[in-house]
Amino acid sequence: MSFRVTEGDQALTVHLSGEIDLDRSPEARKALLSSLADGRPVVVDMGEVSYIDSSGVASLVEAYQRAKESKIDFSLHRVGERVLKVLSLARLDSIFTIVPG
Amino acid sequence: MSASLLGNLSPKPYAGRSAGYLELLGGLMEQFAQTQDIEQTLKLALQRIADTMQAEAASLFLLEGAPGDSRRRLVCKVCVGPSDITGLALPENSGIAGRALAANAAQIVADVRLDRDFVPPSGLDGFVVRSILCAPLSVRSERLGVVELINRKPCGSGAEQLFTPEDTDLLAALAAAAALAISNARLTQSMVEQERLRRELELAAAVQRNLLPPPQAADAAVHGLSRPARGVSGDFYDILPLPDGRIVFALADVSGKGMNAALVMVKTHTLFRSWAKRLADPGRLLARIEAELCETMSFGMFVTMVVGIYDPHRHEVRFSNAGHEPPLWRDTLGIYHDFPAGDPPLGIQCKLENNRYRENVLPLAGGTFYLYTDGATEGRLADGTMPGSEGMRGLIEAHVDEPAAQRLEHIAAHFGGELRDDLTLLLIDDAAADCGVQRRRRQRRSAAVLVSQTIPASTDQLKIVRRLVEAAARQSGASIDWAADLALAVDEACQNIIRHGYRGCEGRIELRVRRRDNQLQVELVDFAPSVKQDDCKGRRLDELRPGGLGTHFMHALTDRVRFLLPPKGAGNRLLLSKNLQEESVP
Repeated sequence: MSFRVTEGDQALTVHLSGEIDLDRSPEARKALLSSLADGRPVVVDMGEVSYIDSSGVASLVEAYQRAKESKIDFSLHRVGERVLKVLSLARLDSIFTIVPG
Repeated sequence: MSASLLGNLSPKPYAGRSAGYLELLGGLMEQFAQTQDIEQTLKLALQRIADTMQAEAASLFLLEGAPGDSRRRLVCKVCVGPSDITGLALPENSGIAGRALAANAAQIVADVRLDRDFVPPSGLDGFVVRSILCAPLSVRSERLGVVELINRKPCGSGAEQLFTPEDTDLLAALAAAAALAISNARLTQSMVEQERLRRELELAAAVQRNLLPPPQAADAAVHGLSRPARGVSGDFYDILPLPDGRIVFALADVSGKGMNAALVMVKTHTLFRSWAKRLADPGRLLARIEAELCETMSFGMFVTMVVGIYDPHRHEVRFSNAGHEPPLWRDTLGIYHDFPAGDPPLGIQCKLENNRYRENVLPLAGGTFYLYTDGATEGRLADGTMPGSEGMRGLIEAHVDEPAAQRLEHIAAHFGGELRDDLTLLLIDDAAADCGVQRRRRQRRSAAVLVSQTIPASTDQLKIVRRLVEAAARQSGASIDWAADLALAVDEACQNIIRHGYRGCEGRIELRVRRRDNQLQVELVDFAPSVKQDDCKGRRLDELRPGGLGTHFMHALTDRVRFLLPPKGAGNRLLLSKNLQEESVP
C-alpha cells in the first residue's frame, strides 16, 4: 500500500498513515523523496501515523537533508504524542519544523 | 379393488332409460374417485361405457406436449372395439375429436360422410366408421383430451341406430368425471415424484453430514459448524489431528447453491482428505487440490478455500487462502486483524508462483483465529440486516467469553432458522491449547512465561512482535504508553537481527516474554552469525544521519540491554528488561 500525496496551492502534502515500521518505511521514503523532486515545499501529514520506528525516523531524516540541500521547505504537521516522543528520543524534535496536531 | 367394484356393476343393455345412465354414472364416478391405477380404471370404464351405450368401438385420447408446441398430439391411450388403435397420434386440431377439443363441447355426427371435418382413420382392418359421438375431457380451463364412441350397434332387426342427444349428455358427464380422475392421478403422480426427490435430497444431505468431522471434545482448540441453507450444502470444513499433535484444518465454499455445488463440494472435500494425510503443507496442498479440480471442473464454477495447520505447541497457524473471505485473528487485547486472500479461488486455473499458494505464518499468542463463509457475512440476522465483516467482529465479540464450541452455536443462532446461504464457521482457540483456563490463571499469577513464540525473521512479522509484546505488557498491568515503549525497543532489536544478523536471508527469532517481580524481561534468540558487541553501540546523537538509531532506542526505552551467552546451536541471545511502574505493580 502506498501513501497518498495531495497537491495544494503552495505545497505538496505527503499523507503518511498507519504503522511506519521497517516493513513500510521504504514506501514512506519513496513518497517523501519523490515529492521533494517537484521543488515545491513539502508538508508531511503525520496525523494518521500510529507508530514510527527508527527506520521511519531515518526516512524523515533523509528527506529533511535532501530538502535542506535543495532549499525546499520541509515540515511535519499534525504530529501526535507517540510520534513526538520517538522524535524527541532521537533528539530530532528541535531540528524538524514541527506543527503539533 | 377396481375390478371388483366394476364387477358389481351389472352390465345392463342400454334401454334409453335415465335409470341406466344414472347407475353407470354413479358407479364410474365412485370408481374414478377411488382409483390408484388410472390406466386400468380408464380401460374398464371405457369398456363399460361402450357396453352400456351400445357402441361398436370406443377410444380415449389424451393431449401430449406443451400448449403451443407444433408437436402437440392427441394420443390414443385406451380403446375397445374390433381394432386396437392404442398409440395412434393425431394433430390436436384434426377431425371430430379436434373439433370437440377446440370447442370444449360434445360433438354428435350421425353420418361422417356428410361432415367435412371427418378424417377417415387408417389401419382399421375393414372397420367402417359411420357415426361418432365425442366429448372433451377437461377440468376447469385445462383440456386433457377426448373420449370418442363409434357406431351405435344395430338393434335386433339390423336397422341402423344413431346416438341421441341423451347419449351426448351422458357421455359429457362421464367425460367430466374421467377428466377429474385423470387430473387427480397426475397431481398424485407429481406429488409422489416430489416426495421421491425430497427423500433423495435427504439421503444426499446425510452423506454430506457424515463427511464433516464429529463434534470435537469441549476442551479442544479447533471447533467447526456447518448449516446448509437447503438440504445439501456447497460449504464444508474439516479438522484432521496429526499424530505429532498439530491439527490440519480447512474451510471451503463452492460457488453457487444446490445439487451441482454439493457435488463439487464432496469432490473438493474428498481431495482435501486424501491429500492432507500426505501433504501437511497448506500452500502445496491447495495447489494439489487446484490441479485435480481443474481437470474436471464445470465451466463457471469455482471454490474458495482456506487450508491451514495449527501447532498448539508453538502457538501458531500456517495457512493459505485461495480467494476466501479474510480469516480473522482476535488477539488477547481484543484487537482484530484480518488476512485477505493472497491468491485466487480454486478451479480457475491460475498461474501460481513456485506452483504453490502463498502461506501466512501467524503466531496466535493465546488469541483466537476465525474462519467463516459468506453465508455469515452476507447472511441475514434476525433484524434483517447483513453483518458484513464488521458485523462478524461484533457477533464474535458478543460471545467471546463462552466456551469455544458453544460460541459457534450461539454465533450461528443469530442467523435465525431460514438461511439464505450455507453457513460454515471454524475457530481455533489458542488459549484452549494450554489445558484449560485454571492452569492459565495459575500461570499468570506465578508470572512465569507470558509469551514463547518462534517468529520468521521478516519485516512483515514485526507488527505481530509488537502486538505480542504489548499484549504481555498490558496483561502485566502496564499502561498503554509503557507497553508501546517496550514494543518499540523489541521491534528495534528484531530489526537488528533481520538486517545485520540474517542480512535479509531467511531465519527465525525466538521471542520469550517473562515477568520477574516488577520487571518484564524480553528474550530474543536468533540463529544468525554472532554479532560483535562493538557493532551494536548506539550512535552519537549529534551526528545527524539516517540509521543507527535503533540501538539507541533500545537503551533509551528499557532499563537494561544485555547480550547473554546463546544456547547451543543459536547465534545470539539478547535480553531486554524494563521495570514496571510503581502503580502497576500489584
